[in-house]
Amino acid sequence: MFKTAFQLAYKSLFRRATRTSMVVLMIALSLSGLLLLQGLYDGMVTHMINTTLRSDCGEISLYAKNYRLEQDLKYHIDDIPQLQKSLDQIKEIDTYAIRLSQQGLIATAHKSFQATLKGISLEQEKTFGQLDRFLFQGVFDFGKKDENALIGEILAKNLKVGLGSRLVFSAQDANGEINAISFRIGGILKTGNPLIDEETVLIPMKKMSNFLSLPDSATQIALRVYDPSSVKPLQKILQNRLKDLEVYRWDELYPLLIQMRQMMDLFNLISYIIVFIVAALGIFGVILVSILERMREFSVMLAIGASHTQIRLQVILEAFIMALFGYTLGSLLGWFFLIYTASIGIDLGYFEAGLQSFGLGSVLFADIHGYYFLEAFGAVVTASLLSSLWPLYLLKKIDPIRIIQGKML
Amino acid sequence: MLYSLALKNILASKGRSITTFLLSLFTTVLFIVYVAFMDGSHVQIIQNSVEIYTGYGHINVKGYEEAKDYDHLIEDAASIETLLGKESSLAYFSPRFETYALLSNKEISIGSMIGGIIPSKEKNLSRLQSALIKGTYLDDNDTNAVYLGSDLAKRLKADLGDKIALIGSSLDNATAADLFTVKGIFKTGLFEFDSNSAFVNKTYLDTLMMSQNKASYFILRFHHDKDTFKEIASLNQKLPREYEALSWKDLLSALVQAMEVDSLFGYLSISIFFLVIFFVIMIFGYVNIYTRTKQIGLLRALGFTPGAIKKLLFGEHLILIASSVLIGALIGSAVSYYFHIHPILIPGLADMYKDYGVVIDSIATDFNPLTIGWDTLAILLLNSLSIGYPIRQINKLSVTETMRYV
Amino acid sequence: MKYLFVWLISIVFVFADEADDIVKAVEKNLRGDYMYAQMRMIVTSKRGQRTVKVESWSQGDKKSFIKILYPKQDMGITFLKLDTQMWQYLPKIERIIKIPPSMMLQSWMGSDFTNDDMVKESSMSKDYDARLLLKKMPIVTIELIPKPNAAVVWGKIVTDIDISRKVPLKEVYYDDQMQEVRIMTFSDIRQAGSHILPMKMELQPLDPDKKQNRTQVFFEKVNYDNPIDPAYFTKQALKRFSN
Repeated sequence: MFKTAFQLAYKSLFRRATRTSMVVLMIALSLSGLLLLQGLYDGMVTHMINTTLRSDCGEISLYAKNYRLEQDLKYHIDDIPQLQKSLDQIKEIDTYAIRLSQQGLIATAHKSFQATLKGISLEQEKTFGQLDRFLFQGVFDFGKKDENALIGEILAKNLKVGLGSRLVFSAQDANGEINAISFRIGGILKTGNPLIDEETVLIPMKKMSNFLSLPDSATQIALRVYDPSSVKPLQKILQNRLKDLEVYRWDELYPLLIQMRQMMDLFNLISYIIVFIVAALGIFGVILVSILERMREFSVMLAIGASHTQIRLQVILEAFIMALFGYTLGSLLGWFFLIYTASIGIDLGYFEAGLQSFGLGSVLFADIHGYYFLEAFGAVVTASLLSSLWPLYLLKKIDPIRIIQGKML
Repeated sequence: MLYSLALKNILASKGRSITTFLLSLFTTVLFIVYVAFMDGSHVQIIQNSVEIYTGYGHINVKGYEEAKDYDHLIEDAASIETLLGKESSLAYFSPRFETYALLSNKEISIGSMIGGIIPSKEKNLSRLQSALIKGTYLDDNDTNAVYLGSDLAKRLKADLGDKIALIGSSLDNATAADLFTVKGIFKTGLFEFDSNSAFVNKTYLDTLMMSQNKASYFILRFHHDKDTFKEIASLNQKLPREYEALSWKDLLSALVQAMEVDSLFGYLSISIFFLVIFFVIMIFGYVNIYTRTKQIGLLRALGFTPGAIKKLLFGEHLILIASSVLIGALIGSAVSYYFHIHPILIPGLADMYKDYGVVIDSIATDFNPLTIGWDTLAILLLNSLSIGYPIRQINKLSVTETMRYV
Repeated sequence: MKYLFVWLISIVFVFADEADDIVKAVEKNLRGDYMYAQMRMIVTSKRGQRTVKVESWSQGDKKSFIKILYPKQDMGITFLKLDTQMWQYLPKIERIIKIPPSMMLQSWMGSDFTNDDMVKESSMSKDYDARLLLKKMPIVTIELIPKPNAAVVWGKIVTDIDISRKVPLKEVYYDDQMQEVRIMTFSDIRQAGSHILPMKMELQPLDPDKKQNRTQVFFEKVNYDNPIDPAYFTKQALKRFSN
């Protein structure tokens, strides 16, 4: 029975090829657009989260008690070697980055700005967040004698300095003495994280420890985990083991990012609903007409012994097949769009300053996830089924005899 | 004759006509309201940033934006004041004096922006007063009273009633130092601002800084915020050569661009809505025409040319579409207007965003007749186009084909 | 040929050493072990002229105490510098304030000197490599290039020195791109006890929007020869010696 209904549905769809293709095209085009949009929005948020995690906090960051609030070197993490030993024992942790930072004043002979000087290990940062990939100019290296520094792109622009320029940073050390330290710019970083790009200068950890007179210390230890789902339990474990430290998840440190993701998801959902309600209307129109046209045909089928169920099945199948065609074409098209924007990206250089305030680069890249296509499938099927409800109701009221006699509903 | 025939046809196939009509109506309303909300949220975000402190317009000495120091002050504020007093387009204006100084509470010293404001005038120009969270706002007779940003207060570990030292340099380069009592604490939600600014009555600050009759800039507000650009341009014509008038677009250019990016994505989404609606209307038009293939065949047989049939069908469609789009536009305008006047209050929204520099507790539409006009025209055009293909298809059929069409 | 080469190199070395020695000698002469001075500072800017009178006590380059004598409104303001930290006492509000790093590059008393200039132990002999450019007895021109790790903003300093009296005549400060940033000139060279020093210094910034600015310092009294009471170099001194 199913086979016959399927064949009949298939054939009747092809009899009205223009209509069918309009519906298919409608589904395909709007679906591919939605997929692209979803991928782009996701790509934007993922990018923001990624750069933040990579350039700053990881999935989890450790701070000394009170440091986050007071930003005072008094509250620093000490005895790093001991702490490293215990971190190395926790199997959920992939890598970590140890950083020592202090706020102060960065100056050239002409200008000065507030800035944050951060002591880091390049090797650690490379494995931690591929910081080297954010290199905008110069080299990802502190030089043979650790004489160079890496500087945020916007800070460099504000200071009007470039590669090789000499900078002097003054700040208070752990004893309250104001010290100054100088370095040359060896590389410029453009991460998309405003905290880094606008105010951070990176120097070797050892140099920083000497400068602040704080050996084996850190202000922040950022952790990367193997499995994102282990973040919450890991936070608990760490809190229990490291009683004198504060343990934060990235979404506690940057709650705006999570809200952004939720907003984007909500927006995608609303777009899907609106588009598919309208698309369902389109499918509905086509099915309704094809039923009205074929009332006589259906009546004959009923008269020669076909059941209502069979006819209903045929109508549903018609809607379903149309939707399936649309879905297939739309997914392919959408997949193509997504592959393109995920690899090559969309260049919006004109809006660079605007994008920067969102923490984005001027080229946007899309995300691709399998579930996009599943969600889309769900939406398409739902729309096609919904759209055949009213026509099916009409069919139920069919009175074969009157129709065959030529008296329409 | 064609017209009455078209009208009759519309009325004859009520179900489909109504569906097409409603669809087109829905599209129009959706589009207009969507754009109004999108623009509205942008207007609101910008308005917030503009109104918290920056203001709709500034007048300053050329070069002040690049170097905000004592070398780029308005030296004769009274003359600018007189000049602005004559401007009928201006609703409010006030001088501000901004300087960088050291604030010190016990052991803690922090460099901060110190703003000298005229408290009574500032009420109409910025949201400093309404951002109060503790204590009281400044008044025009205040002397040693300071109005502190909440995060700055936290950093200084200062609370209401505490005496804070201010050390800066006055215009004659002497050391200006005085004690100020914390009178009020404000929180605007802009972290940078809240952690880096303090305000003092300008009259008093002027005696300390020797900045009488001086100003960093004048902040302006016109009767109609929408006229800001026009009025700024005309002010620039009238101002003495060394001064310039700047609008919020110049002062907050990154924010403006961020909103443009957001609009870009908004239009991307709406274009998908358009696409699907275009198809649906086309499908309905197509179905509508094809179920009447026999009738059309009859008309052809009666001597109607394909051109006349095209006119007939198109006329039908146009009547339907135009009426629905127009009614849709009216409904859309009404909805936009309603939510423009009565923003949707979302409880908790402000708390949620106050920490992140967005101070919004409601969502309002932007009611702009010009935008609505363009939206309506775009929909009308698109919907009219959607019928082109079905008409061409039907006219391809020969008379006999149409007659035989089941 | 070989000998010529060796000879050339030795000349360079001798010159380098000589330049270093000259810079050290000048520093030693100007600083002394102890120094008491009364100075008048005239600051000229777009806004007009302003005179400040100060009294200062210092021991080597680590410790110094400054008291403002004039103008009246600033009278009694004291500064204490110990190593790299600086405190200020403001009699008007009776508070001692520690100058934070963020204020270090603000102007000191409205002059073209910054707080940083006052605090920094930046010593030419310690932070720079000296090279003799020109010798035209008794005046030598020396180029000072910052040592790789020296925390100084200048790209280089070129100074003219009168080696017979061990005093500088002129210092030109360059930025990183070797553009001139400011010029300091010294004149009115006189004997003051056991030392000879220029009684007048003038600092002229060269940034386009500071072109009209000048800061002149005149020494009115100088004494290198009496040790200074260590009581000056304590935080208590800020208040105690304020009036």
